[in-house]
Amino acid sequence: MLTLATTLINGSALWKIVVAAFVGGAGAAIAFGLLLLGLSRAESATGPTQRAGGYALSAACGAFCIAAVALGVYAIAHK
Amino acid sequence: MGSEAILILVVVVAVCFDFTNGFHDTANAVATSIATGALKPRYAVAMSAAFNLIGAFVSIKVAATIAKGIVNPHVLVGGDGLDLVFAALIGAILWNLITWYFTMPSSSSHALIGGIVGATLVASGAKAVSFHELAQTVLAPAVLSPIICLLVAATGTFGVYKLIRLIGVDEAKTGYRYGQIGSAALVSLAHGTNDAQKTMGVISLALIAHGDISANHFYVPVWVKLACALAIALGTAIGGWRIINTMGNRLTEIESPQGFSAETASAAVILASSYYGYPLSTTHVVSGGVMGAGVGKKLASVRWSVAGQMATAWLFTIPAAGAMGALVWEVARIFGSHSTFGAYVMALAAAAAAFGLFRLAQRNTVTAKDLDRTAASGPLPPGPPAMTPAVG
Repeated sequence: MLTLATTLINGSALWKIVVAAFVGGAGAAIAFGLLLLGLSRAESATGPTQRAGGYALSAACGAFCIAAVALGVYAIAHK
Repeated sequence: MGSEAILILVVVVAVCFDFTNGFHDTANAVATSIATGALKPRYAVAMSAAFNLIGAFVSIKVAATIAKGIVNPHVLVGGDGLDLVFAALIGAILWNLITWYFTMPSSSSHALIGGIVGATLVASGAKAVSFHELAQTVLAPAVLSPIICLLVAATGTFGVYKLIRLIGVDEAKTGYRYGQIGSAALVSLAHGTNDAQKTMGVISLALIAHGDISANHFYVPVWVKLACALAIALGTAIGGWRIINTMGNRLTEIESPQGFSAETASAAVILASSYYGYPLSTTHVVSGGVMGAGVGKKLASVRWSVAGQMATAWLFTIPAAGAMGALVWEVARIFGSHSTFGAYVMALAAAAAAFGLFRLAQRNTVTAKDLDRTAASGPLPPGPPAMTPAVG
């Protein structure tokens, strides 16, 4: 059974796909949540430092999400 | 004259297949966005259609790979090749319509591959089909991809709901609704690059079989690209509400953070796999993502009986489309080899079957209005009742 599986599945490609999917898929969903959290914290902040921290978190997570989408479009164009 | 008439018929049938592919697979990109009220159903399918249209023009690499390595390329040359492609397309269309009638999301790509394999088996025997290649490039990814996507979506959903405690439920749901618009667009784009191009590949195969394109210098003519892109976009714009209902409402009750997780997981799995050389069925991946979104929020909130019905439909897709492709090939041959009359008789029979299924489906229709959740406040209302009859 294991032999059959190894002849049918390219293990090297599989783990790359799994890692990319977890980083891009689950990562983007969580990063978007952190973006919302940052915005929420910035809005309810009592001081400028807290507000800046909230916006910084949002900006970093927004950049991650945009990068994930850009990589996805690159993968579409170059597959 | 005879082969030209069959070529024209094959092109028309291929465009019809692309249209059915569009409305059958609309659910992949928009079901969760509609179910969570992120988008009105009509707007969702219009956006998905636009991104499918754009996606169809992005790259033609997928077009060159349809059934590559699975079927001996010599089988697809000459008049037999045209007849074979015709039989495969009719088989795939019929399976798409049957699964649509039973409200089951199933892979249009697998239906097409099944049709080609079935027609090839009866036309040229088992030697013309590489079952190892079929298992390696189609069956193994079909089993693995929904499982991977389920795990990714479940992880994402679990993480997201941990964060929602800190953000606030209403704020998070509103934010994720906006996010879903982007994630649905990305899945639509990925779908357009994959599925429209498979039909482009089929028409190009027919043109090779007819001698209009050299097999050594494969390319997709502009008119083929245009026809396929428009057909899949139009099919998407029509909206396969029955399957959208199954994917968005019947499989699990879904909220916008779950929908976003399912869509990003699906997009990531589809794009990573395509990039590393494994074109997948978007239907299988997205279904896995939706199930994962259910599992990640609360264990056992997935309706596994519906998931089981879907898995049954997936299991039967290649053999059933193959059997129909084989049947069409055999029946068309009763009228003679490369018979134009036989091909037209089969096309008319398929059109009659399609009409019959549409009429039957009108007994329990699902409309865009039934699925509109944008006006809902508080907990989402239950989806329309389960469609009957159901598979199983």
